[in-house]
Amino acid sequence: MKGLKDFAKLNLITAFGATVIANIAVAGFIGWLIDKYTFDNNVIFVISLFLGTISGIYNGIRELLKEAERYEKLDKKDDNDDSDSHSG
Amino acid sequence: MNKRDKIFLSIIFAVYFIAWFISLKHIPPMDEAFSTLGHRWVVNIGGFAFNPATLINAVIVFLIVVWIALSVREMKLVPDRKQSIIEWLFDTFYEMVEDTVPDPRFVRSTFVVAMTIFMFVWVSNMLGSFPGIVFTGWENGKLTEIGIFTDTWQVPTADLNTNLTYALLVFVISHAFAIKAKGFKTWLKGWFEPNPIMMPMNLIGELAKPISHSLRLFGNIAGGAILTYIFSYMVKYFLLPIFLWGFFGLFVGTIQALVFSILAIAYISAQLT
Repeated sequence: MKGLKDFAKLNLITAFGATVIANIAVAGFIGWLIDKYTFDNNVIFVISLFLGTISGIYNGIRELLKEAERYEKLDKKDDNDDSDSHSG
Repeated sequence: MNKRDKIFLSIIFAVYFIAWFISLKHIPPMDEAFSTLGHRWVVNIGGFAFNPATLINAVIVFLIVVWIALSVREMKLVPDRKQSIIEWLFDTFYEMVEDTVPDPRFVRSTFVVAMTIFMFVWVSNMLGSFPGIVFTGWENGKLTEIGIFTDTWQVPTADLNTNLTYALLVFVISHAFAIKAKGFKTWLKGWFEPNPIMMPMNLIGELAKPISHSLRLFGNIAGGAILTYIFSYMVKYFLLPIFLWGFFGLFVGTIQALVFSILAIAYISAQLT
């Protein structure tokens, strides 16, 4: 059971990268759409790409911190279970 | 391994080697072998373009999952091997959901969503671990060739449409749960936290979730199939394909199915916090 959870931690390696790239792509697409139907001079597109980069790093770090906190809690719980079973 | 097994395996390998040596003459030149790589059979009905191979394979996966479910319908007090594997899997998943989802009212429903997704994605990825029926299309999407055991089975998860459907499903479910748990006003307020300037970031971040969720699985499975095809051609189909199918199909397939469903649980629980 613990092995399966350890495998899930591999996910953290790609999670950050995927989040940043997806944020930039989504922001870029929204910016391009707004730009196309308004000024059509790429200014909004570039601004939204910047916004996407900031949002990607912000959301990526937030996700990483949340996952790290969760795994810490789980590890502590597993350690407690182990010590309980040893003492019992 | 005893002596009899060794002789048996040696004969199998000898037959394989002879068959490979004879078939060497029939390997097509490079431009012909790669000309249809990545071309899919596409059908247009009422303005909607879709890949019938995905539909056919999705039905096959669905039937396998139903067959597994039917075969363990009658639970025994002393479980046999199949039942104990399924019980262990469900138990592990339930524990994982229980640890992650903060609101106990949504543990069961989240478990059902995550487990269904895991079963479908895992069986589908397992189908991608061996050669199967391959539909090859040309640039206009017309079906040109049906190959049997010529390439990796085109599984539903190697098509972005399937993965995006599941990712959007998780996206909608997570927000529906959030509205139900916190109330509409609190949910709406959540978009403007920690301060209203962050609203665009939160919006982009939420919209990016289904994209990164679906593209990760698609990239791993479709990329694995293409790499298997290319590497197999490079070694003239000698032995390596078996290891590649084992690695990309069994190993990467299992990890990615697990990651996809764990992410579904994480996205749902993130909305409930």
